[in-house]
Amino acid sequence: MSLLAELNDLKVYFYDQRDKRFIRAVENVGFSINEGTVLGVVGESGCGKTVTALSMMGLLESEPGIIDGQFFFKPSEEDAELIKQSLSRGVRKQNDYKKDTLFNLFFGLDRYVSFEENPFTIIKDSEKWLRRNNRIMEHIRGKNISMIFQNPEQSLNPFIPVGGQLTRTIKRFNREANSYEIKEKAIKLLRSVRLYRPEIVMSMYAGSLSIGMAQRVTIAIALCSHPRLLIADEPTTGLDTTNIYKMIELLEVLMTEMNLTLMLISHNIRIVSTIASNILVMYAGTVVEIGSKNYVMKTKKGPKHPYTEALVSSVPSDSDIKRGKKLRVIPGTVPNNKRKMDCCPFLERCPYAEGKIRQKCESACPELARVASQHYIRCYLFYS
Amino acid sequence: MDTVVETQGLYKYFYNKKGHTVIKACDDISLSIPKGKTLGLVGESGCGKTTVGRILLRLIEPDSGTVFFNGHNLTEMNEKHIRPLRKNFQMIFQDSSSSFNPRMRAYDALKESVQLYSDLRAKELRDEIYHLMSRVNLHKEMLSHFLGSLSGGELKRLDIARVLSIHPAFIIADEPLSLLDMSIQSQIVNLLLEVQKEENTSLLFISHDLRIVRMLSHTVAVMYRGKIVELAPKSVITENPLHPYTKHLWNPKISDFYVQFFESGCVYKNSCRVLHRKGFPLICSEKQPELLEYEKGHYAACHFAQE
Amino acid sequence: MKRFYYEKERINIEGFHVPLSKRASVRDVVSVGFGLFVVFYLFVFFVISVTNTFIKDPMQVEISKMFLSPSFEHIFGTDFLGRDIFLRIVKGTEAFFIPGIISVTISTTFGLLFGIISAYYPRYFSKIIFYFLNIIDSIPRLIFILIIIVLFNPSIYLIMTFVGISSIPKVSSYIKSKVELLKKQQFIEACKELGLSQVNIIFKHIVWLSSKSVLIIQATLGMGESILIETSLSYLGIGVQEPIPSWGNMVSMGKDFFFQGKIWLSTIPALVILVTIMGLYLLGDGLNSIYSEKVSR
Repeated sequence: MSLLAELNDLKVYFYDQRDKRFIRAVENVGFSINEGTVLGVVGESGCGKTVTALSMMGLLESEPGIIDGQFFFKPSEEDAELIKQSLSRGVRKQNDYKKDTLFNLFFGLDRYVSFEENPFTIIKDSEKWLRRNNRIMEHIRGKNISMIFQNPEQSLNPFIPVGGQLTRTIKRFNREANSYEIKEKAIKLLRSVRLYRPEIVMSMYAGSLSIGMAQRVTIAIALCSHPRLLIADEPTTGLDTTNIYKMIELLEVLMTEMNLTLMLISHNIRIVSTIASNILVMYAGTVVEIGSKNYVMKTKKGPKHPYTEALVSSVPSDSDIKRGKKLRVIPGTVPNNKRKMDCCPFLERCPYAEGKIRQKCESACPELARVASQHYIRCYLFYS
Repeated sequence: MDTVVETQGLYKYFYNKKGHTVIKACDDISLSIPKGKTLGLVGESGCGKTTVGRILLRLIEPDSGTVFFNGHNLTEMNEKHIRPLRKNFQMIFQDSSSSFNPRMRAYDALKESVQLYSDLRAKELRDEIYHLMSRVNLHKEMLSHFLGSLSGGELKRLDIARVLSIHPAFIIADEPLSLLDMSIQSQIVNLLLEVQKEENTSLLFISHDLRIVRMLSHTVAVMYRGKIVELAPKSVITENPLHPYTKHLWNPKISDFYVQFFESGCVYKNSCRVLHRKGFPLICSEKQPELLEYEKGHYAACHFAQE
Repeated sequence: MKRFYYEKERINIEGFHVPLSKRASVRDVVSVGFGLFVVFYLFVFFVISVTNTFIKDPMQVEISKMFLSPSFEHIFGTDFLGRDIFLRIVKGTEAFFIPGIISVTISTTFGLLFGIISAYYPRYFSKIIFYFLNIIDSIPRLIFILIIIVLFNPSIYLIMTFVGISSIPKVSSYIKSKVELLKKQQFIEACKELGLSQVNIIFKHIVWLSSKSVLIIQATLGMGESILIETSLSYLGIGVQEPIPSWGNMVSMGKDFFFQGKIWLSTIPALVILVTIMGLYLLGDGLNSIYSEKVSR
């Protein structure tokens, strides 16, 4: 298994024009994905899951946006050549390549951004950086990394039939193909996402599709170019219970069929844990726990971040339901991200923050600590 | 035990412009909800659960059938006579963000509903509203916020507070959890359980998730394409489900399939496992199974329920 | 390079509702402020002229002081009979103020009524109303008024009533589209299910909370329009007659002396008309852009 993507120390801030202050969207997020595996990203809404995905796709345009971080990605061989050409115009730096096949997609970020911690100041030329970044991303976006968005009905154009949108996207990646081949390929794609009677679906408009069908169509469009990494942003919201598992199963089948790597974002940790091999738990814009599924979902023994524990227990398991237990609740809500992080973000809702440990938690934000191989937790409870 | 709400033989079909039947939203629905108990109504989206809830509130007119509420026949009354009765049955909507006027403040929204059926003075009114907010675990400062700016969970609590301000005898909760995060869902479930315990209200809980319905309700009804296919107490439906669709809902991870059949016969024949195993018996595609009582209080509509 | 600075966090809890002062851009604030200034001076002028608290009678003829250019004593100068132009402008508000308000009241009340009826009860009655309103809408307004004046020679009040009637279709179509949009929203259904009466739902939730902005905007625009019509009729010599001052007939009288070098006689009243109507239109425009912005998240 070789490394496909690696994100280091991502920092994303937004600027609130009206209140003249910064909003911390994401801070110190990092993970790595191996080829052919599934990374599950879990957290409540407002935890920065979608912002992470969007910044990986280079789709963040609000200012200041990404201010720090490295995103190494291994594109396909032909695209690697193209990227090398466009990179050669700039000055080569040591941290823009890794192992000669991984490229830093945030290439040259440090030349356009500088920031100080105290007082917090960012100097950034967003337009120039975005223009520069787009030069690389046009070889990546859609071709190597694809994304499925949260609202499938809204991400389809309501005035063009599904077939039209699909064939246009296919045409973009196969310039030489004639219309007959393109149509064949579109039908084949729709069949591969298990749509019933693809010929009829081709002529339908987005308004007449059900949510499940629309989600399948968006997956088909995302798979047009045989991407290496597929980011699925909450693909199961709005679906029925019976359909949720059908959708997850479809993603699993597609992974083997199309040789995909998947990054699955959801707020339901049990759904994610059915297929994910690694799980990343996010809270208030940071990673609080990362590790393989077996460690993170381990029921009783072993270290576990209090937030992960709360997330797991808020989703009832089969045995809980049969016993008729009362559901456990995480008290409070996600804190607003407008403050600088000077204490543990989970402090107010944490049941373990008492006595001596509480003083520690209030003093500073804990670092990610390694508790087992490939299992990291951001909590003072597990500091050795 | 006295019954609060009872329906008999509700029918509601939706037609397209040419007059063909498109959706059979309600097909011979008969339910009864005793005082202080919860009936859970489960089914996929598009099976007519919401239509049943709306017919009970007379927001939609049924094609035929009757709805009794505490002995009043609602289907025969007109809007003028129903309005004084609306105090007794309330609804918690699926999308709370659109069930409030976004140009109102939270205080005004609660004040409106409190003042509808009581004439409290300024001080008492304020105390009553604070009391409501504390019951649903919302902070007092929320009252000055505009409703368009609250988050989904807060709005859902406010919706529940609005319903509680009237002290209804019967509440319909129409998929109250489907648009919320998992952690907030459990908060709302616990809140609903508390409310029912304190006020002794009857509840119709509509959802697509059999597991959550199982936590809340005393009796569970499973709907499929406008028909009730199984009706049983919650302990029975977890341990001994009779209908193949209920079994599938309990175990949704097993992939299902779809086979095209003619319209007549059992509603569930298109993806029924029993039908496959039995080798496509004719009775399933010819005769509609009736809702029969197999044990005490356990009804199922399947030709092969006993096997 | 753009600079972004982090500032100390404000302590108050964020209500996401944005107060009016923050919601408005600088352009909106300027235009609304200008409009409010116009409304203010119109009101003051009207009060002065009704209570007759002038320093000097604006109708008094003083031949010795004719054609005085603007000076400290007479800020806008004097006209061909030695009357102070500023005082005449103040007096001139009387000609359109009450008639304008009448026309605005007629257009907004009936527009609201017909709009709600046709959106809420789409039956034959409302269809007939709308056919009728369409007929009114299709008649060219100024020509219609001219014909009426030529035939019946009515008073300014009656003319403004006609103006009000002729702008009913516009207001009612705005209200109709607004109500039809709101009617389908779920919160109206929730109100109905709560037990609110139909009248309460319509007048509190639909009219007062959601469409009062449309009415305010239409009222300011309507006022501007009726001033314009009054002045243009007076200019043509069929509205208010000399010696009673009106902004329109002041321009018309002064235009004969324009090429003799006495330009202030017609230019100043014309400028006052321009500023007033521009102010009212900007007020409507600014309010529109402030109110149409949704409550931000």
